[in-house]
Amino acid sequence: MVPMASFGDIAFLLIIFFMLASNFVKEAHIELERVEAGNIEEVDPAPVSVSMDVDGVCYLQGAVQPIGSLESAVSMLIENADDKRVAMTIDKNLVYKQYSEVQMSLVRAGATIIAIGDIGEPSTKDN
Amino acid sequence: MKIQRKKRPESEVDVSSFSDVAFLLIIFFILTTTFKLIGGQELNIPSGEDGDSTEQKQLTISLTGKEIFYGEDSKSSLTLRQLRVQLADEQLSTKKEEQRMVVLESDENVVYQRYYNVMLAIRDADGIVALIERDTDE
Repeated sequence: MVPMASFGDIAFLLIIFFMLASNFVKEAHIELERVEAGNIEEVDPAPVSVSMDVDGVCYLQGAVQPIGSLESAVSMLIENADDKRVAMTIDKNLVYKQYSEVQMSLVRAGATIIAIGDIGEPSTKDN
Repeated sequence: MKIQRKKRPESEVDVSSFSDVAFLLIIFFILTTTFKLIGGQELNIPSGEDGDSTEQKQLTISLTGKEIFYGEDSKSSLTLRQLRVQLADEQLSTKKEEQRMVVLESDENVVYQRYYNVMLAIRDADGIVALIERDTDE
């Protein structure tokens, strides 16, 4: 008979590993399609995240944030932080008049913008 | 008279099913976990607060809905590939920081995917993206 007593211990060790290694995404509820590019590098998660969904709604740390007060809200979050990186994720189909103000607000707030995209196949489109 | 105490039955929690529960949890985590590589590019956009307005000529890229124009007076549009070649010819990596600035102008109907591709092209050529902030009352 195979001794099965230690199977439970191994199973619990595996559970602990998965629970510690899993990183639950704060923005899972935000509906957006990320840009794709072949020549971008994998990045470490930034402490602050700003997103703009498919309808042009802006989110800060996963909660809806009016664009008018985005600059001051981001400033407050990063002003005393050593890491001033802000992950900016914008739906790939939005147009400039929608996302430009987000970008400018982050620049004015003094953030180091990390423009997030999916690592995909290099674009074959020329334009 | 000798009173005989009733022997209490030994109580023991049955832990044999714990491992079954644990394995079920593992299977749940394995099935629901998705490992996704998230990439990004660091945009080193100057804030413009402490920048002097110099008369130095800077490279300008203008984006419209479907076209890319390189240089302020350019009348012919480029493809993204041609833009990369033009930027590579500038050899920005050998220049000083202020000469590596590339002004990126955009029409209001440029989709983010195209804008992102152009920003990547500038970054790959060691350029620094400079944005133009338009006055809202314009």
